[in-house]
Amino acid sequence: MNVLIVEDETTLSREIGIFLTKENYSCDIAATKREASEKIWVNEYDFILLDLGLPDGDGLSLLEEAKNAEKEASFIILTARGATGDKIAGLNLGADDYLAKPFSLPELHSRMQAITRRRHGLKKNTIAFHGFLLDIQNRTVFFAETEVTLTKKEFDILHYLLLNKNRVLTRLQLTEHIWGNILEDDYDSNYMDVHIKNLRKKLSAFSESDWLETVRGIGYKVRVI
Amino acid sequence: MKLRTKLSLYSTLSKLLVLVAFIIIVPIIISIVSTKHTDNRLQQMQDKVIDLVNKVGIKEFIQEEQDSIFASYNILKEEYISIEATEKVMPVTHFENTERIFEGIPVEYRVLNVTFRHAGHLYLLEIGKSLEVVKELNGVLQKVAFFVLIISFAITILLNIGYSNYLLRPFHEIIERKLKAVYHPEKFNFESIPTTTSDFIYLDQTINEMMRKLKDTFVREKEFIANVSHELLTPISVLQTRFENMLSEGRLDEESSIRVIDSLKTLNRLKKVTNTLLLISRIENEQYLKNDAVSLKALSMEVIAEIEERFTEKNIVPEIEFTDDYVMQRCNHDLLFTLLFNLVNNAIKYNVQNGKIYIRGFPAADQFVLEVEDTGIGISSQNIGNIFSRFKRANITYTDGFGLGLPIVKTIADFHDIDVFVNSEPGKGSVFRLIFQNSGKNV
Repeated sequence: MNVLIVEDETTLSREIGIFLTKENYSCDIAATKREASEKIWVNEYDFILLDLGLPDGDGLSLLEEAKNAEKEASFIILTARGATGDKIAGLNLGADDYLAKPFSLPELHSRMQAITRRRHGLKKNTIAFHGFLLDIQNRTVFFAETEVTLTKKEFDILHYLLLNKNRVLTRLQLTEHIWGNILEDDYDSNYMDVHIKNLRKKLSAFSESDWLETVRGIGYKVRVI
Repeated sequence: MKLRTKLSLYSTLSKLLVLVAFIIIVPIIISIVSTKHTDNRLQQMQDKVIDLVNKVGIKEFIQEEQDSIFASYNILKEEYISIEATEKVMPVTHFENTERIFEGIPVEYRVLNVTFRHAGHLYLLEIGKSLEVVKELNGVLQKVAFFVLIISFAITILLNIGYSNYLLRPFHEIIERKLKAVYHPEKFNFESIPTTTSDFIYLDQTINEMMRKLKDTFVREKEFIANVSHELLTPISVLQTRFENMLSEGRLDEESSIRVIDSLKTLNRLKKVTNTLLLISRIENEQYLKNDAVSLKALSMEVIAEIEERFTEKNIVPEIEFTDDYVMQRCNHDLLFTLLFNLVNNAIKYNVQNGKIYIRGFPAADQFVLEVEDTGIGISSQNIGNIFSRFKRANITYTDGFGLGLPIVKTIADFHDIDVFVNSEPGKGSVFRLIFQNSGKNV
């Protein structure tokens, strides 16, 4: 899938590019509104990651321009401005999602996957892994015909790990995904470990769960071939 | 007291004063005028009598004998004339009020006394005019005057009230529309109030001018917040993504990975502090909408579910006691959540293992109270005044966090007009009490 990263902070767009390229996206970068406008006109993108504060204008007008030209791309607004007004304006203009900077890269990836699923209908609404089937729509996990009863947070953790399969997610990244914007200052806790332990216990009742790995000192990883 | 009332009161009182003065002065004037008039009449009569005496001779009126007196009354005893010989010369015409008794009834007269010389003899002429008539007339005149005064008094007061109401209407409109109805300069209506009174036009313009300046300040502060957040959060963003990439590339050995994770944690702290300060500024700048209706009971449950693992860790089962629910109207759900989250989180953080936490909701008078009580370390009396101030928290150890939890609570509470009180005893625990005004409930 083609992604255009519109971001004037080149170090940031490069890091996002590196990350997404590894996830098999092909990435283009534009640092100004004009550059972005040209690229959107010439190429067809699946995703446009849009920073609002561009040196030669407001990113929102770029979004409006693209929507008027009936471009198919999905827009995710990435901004450090973070004012509620911007968010509402962006979503009203047809942006698909909104991420406040600083965001974590796995979070961006999971949002992009969610948008992809929405755009391509209900076809791929389940994730199969090691004999389990996770239903995103109904928020259930089945092993064969039997449901594995998970709490809301356990489901979210498993889902997030699966979306970022074969990659280590740090406790911080997981915590941020689960607790989101709560302004809490003591993230350095073992709550995540407790949830993972419970999750493993529940899954092990049905099948081996050694694919849910603990990476010592770093975090967790779901290994799926 | 309202200006309108004061003005009406002033005009009524001043008119009343004038009225009282009139009531006192009018009889005096009337009596002076009527006395003068009577005296004139008497004078005319004197001239006529003397003329007559000169024409027909004194003998028609009076005998030569010393004690002979001529006296003539008209039938109703309203006037009388008397002439008698005298030796004493009176230099001028003399007026006086005297009483004469006729048929046993005393009658008051205005009497003119004058001496005149006729044929070598001196005579005293006395002309009297009954004052009954004059007094009666005076009474009637006074009544009429009084009546006219009262009527005109009432009419002018009514006119006054009406006119001052009309005059002051723009003033009240300015108060209602420009001062009372405004709670944020961005929503201010600059349209001028129609009036021809230049003072009000000036007032209106001055308020508009003031609000324009205020609005500018707000806009500038908003821009400042936006710029600062951009300038601070973008570099953090760059570092975070770079560290995350370094980790996920898997080329680091274990030790380096852990150091990168530590850096990410430090970076996260920076991010949280920045975001918290921005949150506080944004709330103070009124950038959040108040469009939600939130049940405090449901909100408490939501908060508890969000941090259940922290309760588990301290082995605390929160006790929730709501005697009634309270649905807060026109509020911001996310902010209220953050408020309560911070209170409950503190109650856990500063609690002892196996401690207790009570969350209570109950109506009190026309208010609703939400309490969070813990059995934690408490706050000493010298620190309790500072707990809501930024960066001044008691017992701060740096690794413990940055102590902005309670300032956030205070800011959000202020934004929603919620009062916050705290009672604490060191070593025993604290109670944080949120007071919701009933005004939010029924709207």
